[in-house]
Amino acid sequence: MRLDLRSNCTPIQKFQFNMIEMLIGQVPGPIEVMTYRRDFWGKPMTDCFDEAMRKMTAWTKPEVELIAATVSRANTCNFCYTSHKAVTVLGFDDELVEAALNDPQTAPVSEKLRAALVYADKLTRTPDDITKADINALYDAGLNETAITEVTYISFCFSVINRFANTFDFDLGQGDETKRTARFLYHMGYSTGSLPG
Amino acid sequence: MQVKDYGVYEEQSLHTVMQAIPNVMSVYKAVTSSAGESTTELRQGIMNYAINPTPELLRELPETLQSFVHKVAEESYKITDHDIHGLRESGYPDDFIFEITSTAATGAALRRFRAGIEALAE
Repeated sequence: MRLDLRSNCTPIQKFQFNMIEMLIGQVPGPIEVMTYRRDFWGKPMTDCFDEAMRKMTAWTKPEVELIAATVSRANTCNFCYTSHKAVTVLGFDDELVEAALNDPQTAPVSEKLRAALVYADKLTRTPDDITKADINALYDAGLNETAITEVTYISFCFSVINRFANTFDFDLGQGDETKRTARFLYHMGYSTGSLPG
Repeated sequence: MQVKDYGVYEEQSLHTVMQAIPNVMSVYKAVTSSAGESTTELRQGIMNYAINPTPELLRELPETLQSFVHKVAEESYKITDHDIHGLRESGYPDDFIFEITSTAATGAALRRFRAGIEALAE
């Protein structure tokens, strides 16, 4: 971590950081960065993550995690790619996840999800090239307007946090921290991203 | 002669797009209008560049920040300890670095959000 993001935390936030460290082994970078001066950015950003990743209506939990890992790969963010790949394998078969992330075009998933992965990858890499034809391809694959908006929303959320992870050099840890964080995210969700106090 | 005000056009267009998800609008408002170490004018300039990364908009930013803002928005995987040290050596406190990073990252993400929502609305 390139900035000391716990320098201004309150005693209540410090207590929560300690609890997370006991539970996971370390405090994941996104929690530190969304807690630091939370009114400036972290609190509204946490609301976005909670809504996009756990209050979606068109996609399942492993599906949104796979989309998040795809966006993170397109943004060349190893921290988020590795972290959300680890969450995805809690709901999908390992080999399926590996194949889908290696090449969204040939992902061995439903036509609807494959189209979403291709769109998320292109939107993240080359946003200026997105046209109505890309949207029509999504409709053809069975997505409706809500499903497309939700994929676009995930791309927004991860295009933000990927840049933080790269800029401040979030740490994946040395041991089982990634797996423990993945289990925490899968079961507990994103609403606790910005610690109150 | 009628002069098209692209600045106003951009602002209105972006707000229309953000209405699709009110929480996205909240993030935008937080990073562009909250009080901080950096001025809201500077953050609006960074936001404008990150959403529409042209050399002209980059040149409107202070020279000492141009490389860092560009990297956060366009190629954040290239950022190293050296970039952060450079900003500190130029006299920028960590809160300032945090604020401009938040703004550039949010702007780059909004560029993608807007591309998707506008194509959907066509």
